[in-house]
Amino acid sequence: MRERMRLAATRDLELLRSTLVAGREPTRPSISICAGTGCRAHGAMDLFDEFRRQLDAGGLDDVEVRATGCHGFCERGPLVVIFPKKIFYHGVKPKDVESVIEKTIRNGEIVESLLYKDPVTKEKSLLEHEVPFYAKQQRIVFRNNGKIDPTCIEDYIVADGYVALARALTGMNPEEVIDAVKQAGLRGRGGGGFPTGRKWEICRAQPGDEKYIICNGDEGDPGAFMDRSIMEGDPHSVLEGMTIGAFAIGAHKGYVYVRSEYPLALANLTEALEQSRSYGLLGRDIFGSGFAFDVELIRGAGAFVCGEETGMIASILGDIGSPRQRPPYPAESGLRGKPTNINNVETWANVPVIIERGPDWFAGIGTEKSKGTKVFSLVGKVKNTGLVEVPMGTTLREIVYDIGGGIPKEREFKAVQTGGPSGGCIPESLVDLPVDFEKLTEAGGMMGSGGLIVMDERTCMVDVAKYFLNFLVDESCGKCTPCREGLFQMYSILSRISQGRGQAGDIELLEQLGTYVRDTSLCQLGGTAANPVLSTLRYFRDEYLAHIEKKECPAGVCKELVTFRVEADACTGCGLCKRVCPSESIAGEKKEPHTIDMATCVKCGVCYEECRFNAVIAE
Amino acid sequence: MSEEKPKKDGQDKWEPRIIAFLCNWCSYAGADLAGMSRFGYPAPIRVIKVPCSGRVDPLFVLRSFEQGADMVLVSGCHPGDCHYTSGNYHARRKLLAFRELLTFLGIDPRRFKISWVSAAEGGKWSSLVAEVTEEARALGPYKEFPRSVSEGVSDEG
Amino acid sequence: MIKLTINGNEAEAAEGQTILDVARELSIEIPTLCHHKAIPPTGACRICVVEITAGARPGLVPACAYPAQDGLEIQTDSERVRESRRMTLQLLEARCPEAKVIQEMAAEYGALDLPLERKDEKCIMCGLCVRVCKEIIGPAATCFAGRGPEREISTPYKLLSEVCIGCGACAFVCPTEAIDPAEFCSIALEKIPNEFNCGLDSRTPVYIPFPQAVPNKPVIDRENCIHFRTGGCGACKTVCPADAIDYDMEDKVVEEEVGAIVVATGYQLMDPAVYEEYGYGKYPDVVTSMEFERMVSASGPTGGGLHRPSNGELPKTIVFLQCIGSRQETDGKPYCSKICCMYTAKHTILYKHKVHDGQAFVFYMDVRSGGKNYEDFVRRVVKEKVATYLRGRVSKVFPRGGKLMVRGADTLGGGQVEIAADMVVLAPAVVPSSGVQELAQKLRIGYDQHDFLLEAHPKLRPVETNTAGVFLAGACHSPMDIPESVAQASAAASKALGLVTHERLTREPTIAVVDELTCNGCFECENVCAYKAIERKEILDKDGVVTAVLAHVNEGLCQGCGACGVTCRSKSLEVEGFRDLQLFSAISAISR
Repeated sequence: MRERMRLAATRDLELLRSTLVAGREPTRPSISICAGTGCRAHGAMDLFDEFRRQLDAGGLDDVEVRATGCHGFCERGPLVVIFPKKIFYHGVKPKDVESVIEKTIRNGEIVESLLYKDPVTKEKSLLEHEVPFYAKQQRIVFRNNGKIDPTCIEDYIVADGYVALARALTGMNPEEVIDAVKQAGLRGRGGGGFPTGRKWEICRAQPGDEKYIICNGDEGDPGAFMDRSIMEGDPHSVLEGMTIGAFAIGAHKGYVYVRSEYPLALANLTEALEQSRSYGLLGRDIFGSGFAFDVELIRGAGAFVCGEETGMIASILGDIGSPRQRPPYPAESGLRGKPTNINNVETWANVPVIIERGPDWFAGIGTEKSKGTKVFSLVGKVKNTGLVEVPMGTTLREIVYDIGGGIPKEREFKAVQTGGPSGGCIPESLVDLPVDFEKLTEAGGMMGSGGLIVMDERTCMVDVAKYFLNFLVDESCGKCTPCREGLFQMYSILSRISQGRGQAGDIELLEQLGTYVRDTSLCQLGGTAANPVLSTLRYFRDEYLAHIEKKECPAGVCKELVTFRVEADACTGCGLCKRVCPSESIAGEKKEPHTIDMATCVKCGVCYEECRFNAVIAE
Repeated sequence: MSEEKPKKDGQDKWEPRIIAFLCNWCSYAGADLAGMSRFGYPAPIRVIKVPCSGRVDPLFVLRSFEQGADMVLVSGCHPGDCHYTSGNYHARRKLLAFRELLTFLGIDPRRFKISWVSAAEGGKWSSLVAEVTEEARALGPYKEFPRSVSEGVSDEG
Repeated sequence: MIKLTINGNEAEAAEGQTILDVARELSIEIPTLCHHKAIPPTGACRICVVEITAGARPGLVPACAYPAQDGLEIQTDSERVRESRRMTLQLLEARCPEAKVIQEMAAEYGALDLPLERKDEKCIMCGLCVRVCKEIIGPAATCFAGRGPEREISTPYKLLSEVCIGCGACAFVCPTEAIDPAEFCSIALEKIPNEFNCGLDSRTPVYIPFPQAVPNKPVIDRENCIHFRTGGCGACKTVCPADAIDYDMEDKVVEEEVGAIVVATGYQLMDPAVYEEYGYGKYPDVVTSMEFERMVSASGPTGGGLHRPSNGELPKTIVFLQCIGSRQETDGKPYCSKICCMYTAKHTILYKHKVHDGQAFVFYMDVRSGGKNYEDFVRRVVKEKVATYLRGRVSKVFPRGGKLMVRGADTLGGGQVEIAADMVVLAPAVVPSSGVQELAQKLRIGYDQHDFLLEAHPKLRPVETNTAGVFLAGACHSPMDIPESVAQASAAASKALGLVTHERLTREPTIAVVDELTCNGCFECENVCAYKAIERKEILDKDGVVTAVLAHVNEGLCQGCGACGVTCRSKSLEVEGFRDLQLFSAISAISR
């Protein structure tokens, strides 16, 4: 293992890179295995071990195998990409390792069964960028995921890592860095969308020598895992971005706040910090510029509200993560009363690439007001779930259908929830909306941190609102009356409605409470908490009315209001429902119509979901 | 001067002559209070008022015996309560030391009493006098006082 | 200076002020719940929201925690504000239906009639208790536990607190009486008894002793004050608008040269607990006359409401016992305390005023009503059946069936009586205030066996003492009531004035004189003089050379005690009027 020596100047970095590049054979095949948390759960590390073992045993120890960060196509994992051509194999199992090595590595041939096949066109894609899922993406934040081993800083350096930092520290002054970020038009990726350059400028302008920067890696939205994948897969991009930002603002200490539910991100960041320090990329006099900066890793303790700026600051200091009233804003008075700049993981990860390729290049991507790309976690009732990075301005239709592959089981697209529990539902009628900060907010949704939950005809919007409200009631810190009491009451009403005990005036009361919570809460948890309810009421009011007036759940979800039965005419007797029923309530012979026993049925709806012949009816 | 003392009270019964030096502020006032409160006390006591018990010179005691007293009583304020702050402390020290000398001089120390009576203690004064008078009666006339000491001594001297 | 607009009116604010500060200066009412002037604001309850219409992002903000900024335009009572406040009240009322403070505020904002789910809490989660303990007092004994609707006030890990100092600040600031420190404090909680109200209620460490105190300014009780105990708090200093609180103030020793002193140290009541038969201290419904006086006083601990200490109910039968400790030859005071008969009659009238259908009994030995119109007063009490007077003593007070049985003698009616009383009031003996003996010794004045100070002459000089310049007035002399005390005070004042309004000092002629022929300058007399009246006088010859230093008596200082004369070895000092020769003559005269 090479010893890491301090890089005292830019020249040393260039020297190191050229040395590393020289030591690599670009034409020799190398294997990237997606080792993000998702694929690990699918056995990616077993795959890794198997590859390494067989390669070594077969005398191919010069073929590199890398456990990389998340490749994004989570639906089809475990994913293996063979470099340099970037042949894309999906659903790879340890039993496939032998044929991959024999055919592809040794002989350059393809293992057809592992190629991606489009479910509609039946076309197979060979290379990664040909796969429809990736074709429309522009992977800037994820530029290195899938390419580098996140625990090896040398991979990052070979991929032009730290060039931006060197340029900023030795070739620019802080104001120029801020101008570049402003010109690029980068806006906060955590949900607020505040212009990043402007935010840095405000913090820089504060008096005093003691300033802090914080990286918000709390990612509390359920279903969101963009930041996780960045921290796991390319931690140096975040650290480099933070160092550049600290230089621009005049801070010498940074914190990365990672929720404790991300152990791999914590581990990879810890490793990255150590390696950076060894090279002198963190610490005193970085690149001989005189600028000193270091980073401390803070582990969260399980509270969504700690993703809020002042809640996070309190948590860093060991206090209860309860937000405080503002002004003063953290940029003016934050950690320990000093000017503090907080940005999201994805925001920081964009910074090096802006400095390296220039602000104009970045500003050339996206819309007039929303520049660059955005990473979305595309989940829910969609064929291709995973992480999607698209230029701002891409329409929801493109994301859901072209990249996402559309709704499975030929079901109807109903709505997409954007922005997690703080966001709102965009109905089918608005699916040509481009993803853009302003446009989404106008429609009652929110960019948020990038969660995109696709819903079909079998998603009950009342249930969705109830789900998010339940989450927020649980995560509310409890400090202010509107959030603590208001959300509780709203949830109570929604519960009643979903159980068939809704009464006249409930919708008006929900709207009244929702408006109150939105306008009077102390922080943005409460401030946006009413969004799911208010937006579903806006676009799906009749669904609410059906629950209240007719005591019906049209989507067939709300347990108290639905019963399942098998339509004998449509049933083919395939027995799938019987197999999947968790309470063993379905009886029937093969090829005979099946029946559901109401007495033991728990109304989980799995039979309804799984039946391929639409023979299970919900009424 | 050294004659037998004539009986003063107009009775044939012998009554002792008791001289009491009372400090003006406490003991004399106490005696006054006894009178006002109509406490009776025996007549033989003869009171000489001094400003303070500290004014009492041991010579006064000797002179009293020499002039025919059978009992001498010095009474002042309770220690700590002296109207002149510390006069009774001086009295106490001086007179107690003097009492030790009495035996040496051949004077019966039982005939010299020191007491502390406050201005409010009319009753105490009255019982004290009764007690002292009784004791004086029991002791009888002081015939043994060495009169030779007083030979030739006049009031001017 | 920050300029902003509130409700259309221009206002000025200083740096650091909040919107609420500015509004209060303009007498604009904004309701608050989680705000306290001594604790940094938190903006949690949201009842104080006001609307920003310009100058910052428009919307509702909490006035208590939002800083005043240049150019802000604020509405404190717009429709939007009122709607929000009403909703906040609705939610809080649904959470804490019994909270009075919510109901009172709700009256201003309209009916709270939304069909909300009802809870049964007492705590409105304002957080004042946690904040006062952490930020003002210091120990941080209470904390928030849990999150969201599950949030509650507790101690770390819900254990008994090791750090709670039992100051009660949390209970004091709580707007809904929801917190009881006894539940988590591991030390015994003691309220500070209010001395002026005989310990019937409690007071705070910084307090004005009583409403008519002169000067009418608060004082800090250092023993109980949190700041002096722990270094924390300091709330009083924070809120004092005159910045009048200085914790570094020390007691000053003041030396004044005065020509006259008037001693008016007053009296106290004897503690009747020594008489176990009456049960004082054992039964809560047995009280002293002073405690009764405070109970019925409108400025007292109950605001004038008379309640049985045991259960808070109105006493329908009340028995007054006279002469508790007075006129006792053995184990008590032999004298009559003089004032009790009259004040007891007054108390029966006060009682009847408050409890129209109540019954009062007085057990007495003799009724002493010698003052002007006093007899009339007592007669009225009897004639108008305000109270029933029973001549006799009480042998025992004991509880039975929730009442106190008072068993005594009715010597005029004949036989024993037993009365079932709700309350028993004892009239304890009047005794001089404590510490009087030590004071008398310092002033060199006399006192009797009961510690009453001695006058110079019981008939002719009642307000003077035997020490020149020291006068007496009031109950320190003997038990007396207000008219008499006032008369004595006037007399003492006149006497004192008489001393200091003359140009020349008149004094007794009985002073010591030095015979300079025989004095040899040993100055033993100087050691003995309690008044430092012996001075050193230089004797000069005709050429002005000092030939001797002899003793000389300062005529102004010498009191004529004569101790110097006795001490003088050469008999050079004599007290005029009490010369040796004079005394010897007296001795001779008596002895013959």
